[in-house]
Amino acid sequence: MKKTDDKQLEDYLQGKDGVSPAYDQLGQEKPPADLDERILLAARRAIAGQKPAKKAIPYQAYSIAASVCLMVLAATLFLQNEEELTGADIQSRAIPVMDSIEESAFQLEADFIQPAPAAAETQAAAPAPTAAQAQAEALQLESQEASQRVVTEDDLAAQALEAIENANVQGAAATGLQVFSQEQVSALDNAPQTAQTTAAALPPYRASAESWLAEIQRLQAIEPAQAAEEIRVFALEYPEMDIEAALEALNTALENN
Amino acid sequence: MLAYSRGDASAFETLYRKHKDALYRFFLRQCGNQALAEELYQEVWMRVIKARETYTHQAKFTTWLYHIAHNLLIDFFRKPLEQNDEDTDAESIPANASNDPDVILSAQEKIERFRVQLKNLPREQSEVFLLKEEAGLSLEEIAQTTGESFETVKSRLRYAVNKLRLSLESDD
Repeated sequence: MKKTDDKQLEDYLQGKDGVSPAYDQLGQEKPPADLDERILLAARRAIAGQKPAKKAIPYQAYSIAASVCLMVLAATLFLQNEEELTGADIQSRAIPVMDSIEESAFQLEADFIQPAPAAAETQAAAPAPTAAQAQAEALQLESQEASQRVVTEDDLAAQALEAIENANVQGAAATGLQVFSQEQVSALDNAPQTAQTTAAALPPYRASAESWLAEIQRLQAIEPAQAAEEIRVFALEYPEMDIEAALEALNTALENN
Repeated sequence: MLAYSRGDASAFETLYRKHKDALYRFFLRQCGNQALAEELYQEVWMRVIKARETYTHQAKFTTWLYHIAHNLLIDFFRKPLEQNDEDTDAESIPANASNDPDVILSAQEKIERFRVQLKNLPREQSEVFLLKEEAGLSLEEIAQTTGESFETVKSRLRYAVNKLRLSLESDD
């Protein structure tokens, strides 16, 4: 019985019996039209009295707005930093160009410097002419030959180095007047790390032969070219010293330690 | 419904026109009285309109709509019998057909017999049958609408269908 009932129910659910068609024939009654209107009117009045619903803002709009704000903030910070750096950067990278006024000042300074003895000797043991004197001669010659030439930073540095080499500076603080002009001092500061031995700009490690040799030993491992340059200048400073032997002695001492 | 809750009146009208006829017949078949059916029918929609602010899409709208209708019917049938003045004018059992088993029932008479039998079904059985026929709900959805178990719903439907089928069998 139960199985028959389940079968009959299954037939009904699948539309295989006549119950559903019979029900459909009962009629398709509909609510009256005025009842429809009353209900729809009530529905319209219900929402007319409420506050307009806030249109949901898509989450995408929020994310886009946030991205735009971040971009504006980042750009603003970047531009602010750029202005700060640009101002100082321009100052530091300014290339001193000798104009007519500066050239005149340079000439006056050169004239003020005591001229070096005519016979400037380059013997290693003999007292060499001071750097100031040699530099003064070089600068005077240069100023006469290139009075209207634009002096670049590299030119100034080259002038100073050449004067040092020819003067055979002892390494001690030179007496006398300042050798270089302001432009030459700036050029030396910005020049590559070559021998910049001047009285006013002596690297600390050149204060003594021992520290200088130690620096040369250090540079030999990492900067051979610079080490060679230091050796050359060292030789000018200490012509009586056997540099190779001294460096070998330093290496031996380092190995033993 | 969510669109209507956000202020879209046309969304409500769409819902209304989709469900109005079936819901109306759901009440008409069970109440047997057009005025009463209209009253209950209108009350359902008023409750739908009122519930727009708190409506959340937790179930199918049809299930939710007929759950409201179910609750109204329960409240109606709990009232004393004298208040339920059923008009049997349209639902009276054809005397000739029911008392003369030798009469071959015409198609129209079969339908009338079917109609009466439907009206005479116990309320729970007729409700389940009408939720199936008018609302198009599955047995599981009917169980959810009425708050009954699946087996209870299935049993009630089985009884209802059997009785209705018997009303269609002609007696020779």
